Amino acid sequence: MSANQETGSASSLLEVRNLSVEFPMRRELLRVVDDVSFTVQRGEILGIVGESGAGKSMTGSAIIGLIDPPGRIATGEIIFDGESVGQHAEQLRGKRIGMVFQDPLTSLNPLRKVGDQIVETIRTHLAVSASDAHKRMQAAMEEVGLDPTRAKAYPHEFSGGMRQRAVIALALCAEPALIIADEPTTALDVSIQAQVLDLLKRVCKDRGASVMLITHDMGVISETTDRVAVLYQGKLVEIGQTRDIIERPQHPYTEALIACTPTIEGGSFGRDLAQIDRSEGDGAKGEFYVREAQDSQATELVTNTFAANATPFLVAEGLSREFDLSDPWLVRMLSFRRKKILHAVSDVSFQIERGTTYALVGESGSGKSTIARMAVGLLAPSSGTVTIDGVNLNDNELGTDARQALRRRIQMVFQSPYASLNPRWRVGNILSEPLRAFGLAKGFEADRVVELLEQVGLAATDVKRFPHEFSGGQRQRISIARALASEPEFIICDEPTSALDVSVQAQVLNLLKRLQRDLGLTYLFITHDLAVVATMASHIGVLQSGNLVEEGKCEDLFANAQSDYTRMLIDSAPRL
Amino acid sequence: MKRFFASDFFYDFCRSPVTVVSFMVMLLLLLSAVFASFIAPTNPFDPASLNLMNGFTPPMTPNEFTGNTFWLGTDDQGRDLFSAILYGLRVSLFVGFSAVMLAMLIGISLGLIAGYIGGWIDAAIMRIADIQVTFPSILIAMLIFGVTRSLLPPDQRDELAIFVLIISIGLSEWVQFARTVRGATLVEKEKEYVAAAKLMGLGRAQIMRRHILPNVLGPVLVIATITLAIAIIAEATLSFLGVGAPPTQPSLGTLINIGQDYLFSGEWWILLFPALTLLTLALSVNLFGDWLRDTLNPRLK
Amino acid sequence: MFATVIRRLGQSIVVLALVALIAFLIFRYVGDPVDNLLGQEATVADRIELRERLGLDNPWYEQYTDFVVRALHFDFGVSYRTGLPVSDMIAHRLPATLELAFASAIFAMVLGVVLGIYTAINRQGWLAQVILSTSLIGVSLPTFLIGILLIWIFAVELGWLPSFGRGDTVEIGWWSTGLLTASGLKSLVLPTITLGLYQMTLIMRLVRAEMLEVLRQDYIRFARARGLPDRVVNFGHALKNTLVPVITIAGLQLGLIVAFAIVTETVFQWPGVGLMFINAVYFVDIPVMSAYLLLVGLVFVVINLIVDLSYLVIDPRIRDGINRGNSGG
Repeated sequence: MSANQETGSASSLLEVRNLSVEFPMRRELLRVVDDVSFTVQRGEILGIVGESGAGKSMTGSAIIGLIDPPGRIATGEIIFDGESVGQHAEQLRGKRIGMVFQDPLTSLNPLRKVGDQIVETIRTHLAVSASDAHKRMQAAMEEVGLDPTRAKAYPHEFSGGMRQRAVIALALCAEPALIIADEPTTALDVSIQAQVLDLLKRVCKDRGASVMLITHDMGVISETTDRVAVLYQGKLVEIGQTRDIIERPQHPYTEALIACTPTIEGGSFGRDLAQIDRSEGDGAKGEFYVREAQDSQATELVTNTFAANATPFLVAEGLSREFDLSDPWLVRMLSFRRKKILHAVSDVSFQIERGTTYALVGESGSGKSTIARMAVGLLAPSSGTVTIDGVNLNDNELGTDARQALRRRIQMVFQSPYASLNPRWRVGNILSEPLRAFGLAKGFEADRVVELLEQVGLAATDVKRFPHEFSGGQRQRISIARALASEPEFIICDEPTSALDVSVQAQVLNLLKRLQRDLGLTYLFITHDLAVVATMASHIGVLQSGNLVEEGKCEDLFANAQSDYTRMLIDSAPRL
Repeated sequence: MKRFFASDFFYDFCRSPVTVVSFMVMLLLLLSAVFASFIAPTNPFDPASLNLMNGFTPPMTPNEFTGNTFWLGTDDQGRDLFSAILYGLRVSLFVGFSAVMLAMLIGISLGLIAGYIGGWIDAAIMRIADIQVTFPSILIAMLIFGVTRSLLPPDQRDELAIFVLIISIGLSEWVQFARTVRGATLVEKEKEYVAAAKLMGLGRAQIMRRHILPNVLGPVLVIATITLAIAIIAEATLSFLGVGAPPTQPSLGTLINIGQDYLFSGEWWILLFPALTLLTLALSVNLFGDWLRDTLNPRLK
Repeated sequence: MFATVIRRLGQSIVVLALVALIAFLIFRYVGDPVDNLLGQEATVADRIELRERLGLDNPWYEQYTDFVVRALHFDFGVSYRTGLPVSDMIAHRLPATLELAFASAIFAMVLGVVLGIYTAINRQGWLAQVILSTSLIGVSLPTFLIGILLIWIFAVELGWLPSFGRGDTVEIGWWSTGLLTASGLKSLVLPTITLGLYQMTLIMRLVRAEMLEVLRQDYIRFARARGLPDRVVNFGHALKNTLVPVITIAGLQLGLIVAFAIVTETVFQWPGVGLMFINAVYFVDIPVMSAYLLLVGLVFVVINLIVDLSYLVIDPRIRDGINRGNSGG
């Protein structure tokens, strides 16, 4: 069944009926959850999927009564195990319904030992003696794959994945019947994400508990859940068996969402993504239509033109970078500590052909951002060189003019849509600054600014506005426009879409590809998402802890990865 | 301008009657001080205009010798208390504002430089700040005052007292500004718009001035208000102790000092009215500063 | 952790040396010691003899070392105003100030923390609002005004408590205490409240702000989501985390008590070192000023050191040398 309503039966563990959550704001009443109904059966894993603003987190918080004022539940009923919850949500928390939040670092009290926090929760809900609680705590830690001898450690001594396991242990230790997991793996690396999701599935099957998994990632949904509910702007648009929904989506939004999601599979290399065209940021119940994915034969055209020019555009040779994290000398002397050197990048070499996109892939700590900064001249390498079209940016002999001329040809688009634009500057100034810095478009800056805006799909009237008036995707477009202002040949994209919703990501990636075709740009694309690589890049390099473990053409690498690490990355990536 | 009145900030302001009142009071006191020479019926510090026979007149009652009536009474020298308070207010506010300005100037510059350039400059500035903060500002102010006084010839001490006061209070309050601005600078300089500016070849000074400075001024406003209250009270305390504004250019603190001698012999008004004025001033500034801090705190939204 | 301790100790010593330097510079170079000690009728021969005796023509670093060595032996020279040895003056008056300071500190800390926690937990209650409003007045009233008002109400109008002085004191060895006599205790009340009120309101508002901040954190939310009862969440989790930043500022505020003691002692004619200092400033009595500076410097540096070290005990992150949280994920 894939209607957008669901009526419960007596055996449902959780039934949510006509739930609405409101936030009274200064000028209006914001309905973040609008008349949502669904059930969770015993022993199943239900996914709640949607983009930002869909209301999925709010739904989870509403169920256990943790909505922060001024938000409130406007209407609706929550029925748990046959009884209406109403005001008694506190009694269910921990004992019958456990919760896992997104950020493992901030979920744990930094000043208390991990084991103590688990014991405390156990003793709150179960009437057991202190030593019994201690044994249960150790059993809980083992169950989630943590070493019980580390119970006396503090949260900051654990890695991100281990912390999330501890959080799961905390959620499970009082033996609840339902776990609500709100984006539990979003802050984790892909490989850790796979492990944590497996853990979640396993412990719930073992105990017969149900899970309500809230996420924005369709791939995670596909691999983990039995059924899924799709939310859009507070409304439930579709609900049903996961495989049914993914293979035969009924609602246009679901269909579009699935089509937008980049994948590694089958012949999608270089294809443009479908994208949802709707006016962003107006918050209305959107009508939208889906622009179909297109085969981009044009990419091949550009590659062929440049193939004749055999000299690669960018050559990185033996790049290395260390960071000295040691304590000051005197302290080291007195406490006999050694120097702490972080080898962020070790002897990396690669080349990028003109007009192509080279993707640099790695998890956190792999050194990809460091390489990006060295490539663009923001950071000097400890050893090795980066040569762009024959010129070494870090050459000390380079005069100011030559250096500035080289800067013009290289630009960068950054990850965070919020931090890449100066919040106090108007868009017009943000875009005209590079023109002034490089002495371009003298006398007609204003026209050029409008031209840039239109090139990225924004309007001339946006010139007077401030960044906070735009959505995340629009801000990235402004960033791209700024990068284009100096008419560069080479753009480094440092995780430009990692902070964006899937549908917005599709728009931005399509834009980047179109610009590459139209302007003959060369890209160095940094990302952790293999699926995005498959869409964007022709060549790929895989980084692990500062070392380049493998590189090659995309199709070759995905079909036939040589190194174990690459294979592990490919396997861990959730797919539809 | 229109944007300001339509903004959330102004809306919140109007919603809190206490804040509006305190702001109005501040404004009133400020204007009274600025236009003191026009509002005050007499100039109480012009010796020629004084009549000792007017001394010790209670408020709103005619003097038994001269028949003059004074709103708030007179002090031992026959000075009209209302005028004295207005002029005293002027001194208090002048010192307060100037000290805060000085502290802001030093603090913001040093904080910006320390935060952005880092390295040994940062370490040096923060070291000095740490040392200075170990000692309470009153003490530092007293010390600077004491030392300067002994370095100056006696006849100039009174004239320059006000400026010495401003410098000593200002120099004792810069640390808070510097630390806050430095903290904010450290955060901002890691943001990607700064990297984008570097990619355009902009120099350090340009980036600090054009990009970082506008973004670190937010919390400065809150601190400025709170520091203003502290500076006013500090000045009053120093003047009360006799190491601040001299009797020839008295501030509210000096007036209170004078009034203390007569409190227990029955002429309560000489102390009470300056005290009330001081209290009202400090209270309104604090109220406004409190509200400002709560509103501008992004995490409370 | 050992490294951090060493570092802090080193810093403290450096600061002390710097303070001593400033004290020395004031002592030696502000005004002319010879003029002040001998007066204007002294002969030239007397002056030369005094200069030699005081070593005033030696190189500055010798004089500085000499100054520090003498200070370590509690020899601070002779007061210009009274002609008495400064160390005697200090010893005579120090107990008064210390008793007052401790009493105020305890008053301010205990009441401040308790009220701060109460107003943070019961945000909306009417009593909390009343306390907050009154606290605002407490922060807006200068110490001397509080003192005067208290004297007026309790000493003059009601006559319950004395308006100046320390009452009867009892000598125990070198120390004179007012805590063992009824009049001594009564005399302590008003000055303590005066001195402590400003600090108390400051600490209260600080504790409240910090606790509210902590209560907003994710781990508090998670603790509630685990079903922990409110009492456990507030006191078991929030409180400890609140105390860390509170300790710094509270520690520094205690320094303010020493400073404002000057004001309080002036208002109540309390015979402590603060009153001594203010008279020294007024009469430009350099040796006393510089001795007071040294003394106060020592007190502050020690307080700061204790505060820093107590961090190590409370926050395990700092123990491990991570002062900005996050190890990579």
